[in-house]
Amino acid sequence: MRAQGSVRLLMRRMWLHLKNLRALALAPPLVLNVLLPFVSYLFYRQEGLGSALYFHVLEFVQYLVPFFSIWWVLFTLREYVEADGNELLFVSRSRGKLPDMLALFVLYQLNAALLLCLGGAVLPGMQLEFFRLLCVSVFYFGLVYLLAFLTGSIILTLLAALAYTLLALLAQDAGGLFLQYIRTSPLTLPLLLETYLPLLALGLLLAGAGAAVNRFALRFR
Amino acid sequence: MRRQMSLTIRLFCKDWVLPAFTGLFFLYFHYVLFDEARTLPGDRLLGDLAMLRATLPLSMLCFVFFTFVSYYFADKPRHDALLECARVTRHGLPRLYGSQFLLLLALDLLFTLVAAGYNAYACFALQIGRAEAVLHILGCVLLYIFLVSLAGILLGMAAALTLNRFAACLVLVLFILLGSPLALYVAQALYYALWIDVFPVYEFLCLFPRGLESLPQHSVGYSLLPDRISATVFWLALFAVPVLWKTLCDRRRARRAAALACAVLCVGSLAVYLLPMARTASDRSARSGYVWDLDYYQFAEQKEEDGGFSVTGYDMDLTVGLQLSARVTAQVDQPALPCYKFTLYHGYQVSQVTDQDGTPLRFTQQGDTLAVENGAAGRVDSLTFTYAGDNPTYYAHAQGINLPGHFAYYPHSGYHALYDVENQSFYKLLTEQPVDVTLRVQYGKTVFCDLPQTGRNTFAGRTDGVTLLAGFLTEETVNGVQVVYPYLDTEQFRPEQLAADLNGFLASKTDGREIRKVMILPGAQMELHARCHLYSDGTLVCMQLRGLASYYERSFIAPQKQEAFNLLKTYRDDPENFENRLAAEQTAYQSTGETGMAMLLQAAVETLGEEEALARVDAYLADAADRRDSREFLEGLC
Amino acid sequence: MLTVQGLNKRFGRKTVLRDLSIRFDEGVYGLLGPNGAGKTTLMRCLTRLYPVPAGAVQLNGVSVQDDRDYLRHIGYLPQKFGLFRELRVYEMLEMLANLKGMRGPGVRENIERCVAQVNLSEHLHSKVRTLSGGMVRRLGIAQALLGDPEILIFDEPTAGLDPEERLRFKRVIAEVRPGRTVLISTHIVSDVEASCDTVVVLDAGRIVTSGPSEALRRRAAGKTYLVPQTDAAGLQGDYVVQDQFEADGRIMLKVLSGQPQAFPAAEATLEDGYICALRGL
Repeated sequence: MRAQGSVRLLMRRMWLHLKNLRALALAPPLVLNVLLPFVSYLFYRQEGLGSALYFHVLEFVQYLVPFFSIWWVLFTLREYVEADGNELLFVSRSRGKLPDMLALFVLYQLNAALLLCLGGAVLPGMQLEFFRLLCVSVFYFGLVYLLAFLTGSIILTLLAALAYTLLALLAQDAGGLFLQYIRTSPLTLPLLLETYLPLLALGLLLAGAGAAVNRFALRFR
Repeated sequence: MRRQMSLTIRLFCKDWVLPAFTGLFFLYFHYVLFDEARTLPGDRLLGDLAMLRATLPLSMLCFVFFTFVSYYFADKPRHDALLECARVTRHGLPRLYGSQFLLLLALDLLFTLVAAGYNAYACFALQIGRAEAVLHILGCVLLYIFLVSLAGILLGMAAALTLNRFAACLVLVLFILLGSPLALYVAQALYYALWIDVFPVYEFLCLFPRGLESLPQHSVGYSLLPDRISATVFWLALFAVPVLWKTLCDRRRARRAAALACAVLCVGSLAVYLLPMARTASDRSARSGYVWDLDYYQFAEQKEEDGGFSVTGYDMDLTVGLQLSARVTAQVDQPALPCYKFTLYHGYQVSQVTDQDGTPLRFTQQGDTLAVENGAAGRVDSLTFTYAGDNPTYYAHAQGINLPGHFAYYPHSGYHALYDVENQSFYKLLTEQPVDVTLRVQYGKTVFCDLPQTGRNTFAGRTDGVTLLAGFLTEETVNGVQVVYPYLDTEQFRPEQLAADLNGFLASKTDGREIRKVMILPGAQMELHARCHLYSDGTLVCMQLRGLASYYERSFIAPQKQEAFNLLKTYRDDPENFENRLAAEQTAYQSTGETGMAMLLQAAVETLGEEEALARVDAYLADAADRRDSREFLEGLC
Repeated sequence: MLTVQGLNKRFGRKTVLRDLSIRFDEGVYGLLGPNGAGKTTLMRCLTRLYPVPAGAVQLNGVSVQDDRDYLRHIGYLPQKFGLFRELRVYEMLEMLANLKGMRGPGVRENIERCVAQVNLSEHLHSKVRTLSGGMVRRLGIAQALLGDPEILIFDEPTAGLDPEERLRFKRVIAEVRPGRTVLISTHIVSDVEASCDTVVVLDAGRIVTSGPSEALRRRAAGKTYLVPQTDAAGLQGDYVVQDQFEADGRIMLKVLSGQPQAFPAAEATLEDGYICALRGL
């Protein structure tokens, strides 16, 4: 009963957080539900059904899905990190904001999962790619969560996330350091073990570090 | 101002975040360049451009870094209540933001100097002794590191001064993504799926260097063409307008003057950008190289028609600036034809055609065909064509010239198909007989031509195709043969390697044809048989020296006979492979009923005997009058 | 009853609160002190924003570290307040109520009551960013009242407000004070005079004096003098120039001094008492 009430409170908070973002809140749904399907359709028209389409779509989702997975989280964290009077938001029993941010993150991932499931109906195997994207998204989440509290600046956190995305784009398929995550080959077990699971682990570590900063080393305006 | 600068530096360092981010990025910047520097000469395929190639991808990261840091720094006064204090102080805002700008500019200079330093070191280590190449490398650093970062600084400041935080984040992220490879990807998808060409928009928005996905063209390096420079200047000026407007709010005259100056610069650079000129294209855009021509010729009608006359000589005045401008006079041997048909690549727009007396003649240019009507005088000894334009593959612009003699950059008699759509390359178009050509090229750099030189960038001689090259090229004589090659491509053209490859080729050549000059063409999509050609004047124009013997042999075989040539070569030189192919064709025959080429040759060998069959194939390949394709011939052979 | 016992707080090498002990019963307490005295730090310690040693802060005898529901008893208004500017007033309060863990059908009623208490009912559905500075302050007070907490902590609540808004704030304090402990940190002495029962003067992390505002005012009695500027050289010993004004064409100085002076005495104000306490006069 209490848990149900907590969940309801959480969901209401999520809704208000998103409402507070105004037009910015629309970016991830637009990217996931409009841009990605549209571009996938363009690839389909270009290549028809087949492996070429698969790889084009795979490449494109890797460019966009992980970066936009932290969009809501990042701009919601602005209130906690930069807003005037942000200390008030920590005068509550649960000082840690990880559950709230995770909820937003999970909401996005649900949308992404749905999209990839639907994509999998057309391109078999696309559902599995969700796990790849999830691992990378968790890394982004951890990076953003830590940097937002560490730097006290959303702008610089956004800089770090964007720079990392561009670096990954430029170093596509370079292999080597696991941080370069964009690959145009289907997900295999070795790839998962060498690249994506380490990214997931690192993301969790960063999120944990962010939670520690959140609890013990906050800066107030 | 010194005091203000000192305060600004303290403000920058006060919050540990800015120096930390700057320091981290600086370290990363160093690391990338140092890593390349310590492994010089690096990836041999990149030749002497290896360090530059490692530097240029940092352009995008520099832009992102400076945009966000500049925004963060310029936004600080608003949140620290410093902005209002500055507003009510005489010259407060200009001093405050002026000093911030200077500090960021100093950082930009620092990064630029580091990049320039590493590149200068690379020039020294790789012994790039030519000033033009060194200047090009430093020019690229200046444009893609310094100016692009400066654009980021101004964009960040403009966003901080004019937009609220949410809008600023959106604008910054959007601007960066629209100029990133991601946008190129979408543009490509739109183009190939729906034939909606948004590449011009992308190319205007993207400040970053192109062609990083593939090997650099060593003869021209990376783009410093006017379109890149004018686009960058446009964005710089545009971002500067709101910055100046907001910071000079208490100095109206200065504000108006500065904003006006920037606006004029904006408009001027936009005007320059929109001028007809040879443009930089990204590798994946509709304007890049062979894609441009493939897309055109897939739907264009190409005619083949005898013009009924021959051109007996050319007199050409070429000017290479933003693009190629030409004034070409062609002497014709038939003075009384009602209409003279020519072929000229469609990228060159003819503005005027006159006869030998200077009388303008009516003409129709449609695609690659050019029909000139005989004038009232009824007699035409020569026709003078005035035209201008460009082609992305066979270019002529400020950085270099790549006009091979087989490309129709000057009018040829008759209508000819120029492009082989199936093989995605240009056919070789040459005059039937060698003709006299005099040629003057107005160009800042040294031009290399297959014709003998009679003055600076002036040439005269007799040939069936005039090849012009310019750029980072040099000429050397090896074993009595003049070789023109891109000296930055040290993977192929180190002096000892060059000599070894050329001598190896000359030793293997047994046809007795004289080669007095070799000219290396920059990379272009070319089928194997088109990768080299021996012109009537003894000039061999080719793409590389390595494996030249094979390309040379092929170059005398007509395109439709290439398959038979390949088969014959495999039969003779690689019997195991031939057997494998035969086995595969026989297996395929079981299911499809289609007779493969190897099967046809094998049948001919079994019927006629090996010696006879192969002799007939040799004769077919050498007979220019035999225009049958390979399958037709082999089926006839059986 | 909120008790602070031997509270020390350091940031790096800088000690902000030194062995601070005080008891807050029911009533309105004004925390006075110069910048850097430790007022905000004390408030943040009381709201658990800064960790405190076990037992240093107790609510009704229970250490706040051990009391899971401690923050339910606290309503806090920080010095700067500008959260969720894109939400409407009701939504913003709903968010903060949500963060406080308030649930159930009574939340709406609570929000409306708090908004009515600060006279913002007509703006209940306006966006926060459309409100004036004074209204935002009132909204801040309203959010502090959410959940009917027993302890209200206001950090410089009247900073930047015009006289009318400050008067309105005083009225609100008067309305909400019954049954509550209210802590108001400020350096506007007149606000303390009007609203507070007890004045606590902090300086350099220590409590200089604590007591009724009348007692603080009396501290300056007999130590306040009116001195013509031209005669200032005649002042003996240590003194502080508290004020300067023109009277009958002459510049007059209001001087505070612990030593008797050969000048007419002036009526002491609370501000004089505050200065005397700070300067140890």
